[in-house]
Amino acid sequence: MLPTCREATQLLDVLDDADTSLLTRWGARFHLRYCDKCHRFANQYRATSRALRALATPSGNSGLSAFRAWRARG
Amino acid sequence: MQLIAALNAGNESAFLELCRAVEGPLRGLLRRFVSEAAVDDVVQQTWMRALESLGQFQGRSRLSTWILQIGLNLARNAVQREKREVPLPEEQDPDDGCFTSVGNWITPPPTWPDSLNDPEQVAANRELVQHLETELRKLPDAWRAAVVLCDVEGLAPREAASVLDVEDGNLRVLLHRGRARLRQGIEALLNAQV
Repeated sequence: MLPTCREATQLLDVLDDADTSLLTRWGARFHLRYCDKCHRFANQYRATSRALRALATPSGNSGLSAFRAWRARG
Repeated sequence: MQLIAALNAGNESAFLELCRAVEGPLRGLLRRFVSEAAVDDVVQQTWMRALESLGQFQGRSRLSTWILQIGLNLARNAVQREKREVPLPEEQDPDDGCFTSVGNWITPPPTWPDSLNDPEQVAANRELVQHLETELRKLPDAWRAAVVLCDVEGLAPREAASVLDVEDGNLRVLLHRGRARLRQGIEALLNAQV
C-alpha cells in the first residue's frame, strides 16, 4: 500500500537509508514522483536544509591559548 | 590515537589541526545555546576540559565528537546557570496541522521562488539568513542541536547522533521536525513579503 501524503513527507530522510525497507522507500519515492504537493514540499524541505549552510560558523584556533596553558602545566 | 599521542607530546600543529576540524561546529553549536557574550568563555572551557580529560578519552567515538559532547554539556550547564527560561519539550510534528486525519494535505505548500534553490542567492539574501537564524534559535533545544550539527555545520548524521547521545532514528526525527519548522518559517517570511 502506498504511503499517504503525511507519511510520504515523513519518509524524506530515509529515502536512501538501507535500514528502511526497500518497499517503504520505493512507496515513498513513487508517491513523491506523482504527487505535486508532496514533490513541492520535498523540494522546499531540501532547500531549507541547504539554505542553513549559509549560517555555518568559520573555523578558528582560539583554543590555542588553552592548549598552551595546558601544555605549560605539564 | 596518533593524534592523542601528538597532543600529549605538546605538538601544536596537531592541536591546530584539531582546532580547524572542531572549532567551527563547536562555536556554531554554542552560539545557539548560550548568549553571544558567553560563547568565547565556553569555547575556552571546552578546550581546557577536553585537554585535561584527554586521558579519559577511550576512542569509542571520534575525538571531535567527544569534544563537541563536552561543549554541549558545558553549554547546557551555562544555560541552567543563566536561569534562562527553558521551553517545554515539544513532541508534536510541526506539519501535523497541515494534514487531514487520513493523511491528505489540508494546506499544501505554496510555490517558492526559484532563488531559494540556489545556495549562492540564499547566502546573499541577508533578510532570509537573518530570519533563519532567528527561527533556528526558537526551536526546542534538541531540534536546534540536530539542525545546527547536521545542516548548519555539516556533520554526518551518525556523528551528530553520537554528540547528542541519541539513536540514529531519533536524530532523524529531531532533524525532520527542526527542518519542517524552519521550512514553515521561510514560508511565513515569503507570505509577509507578498
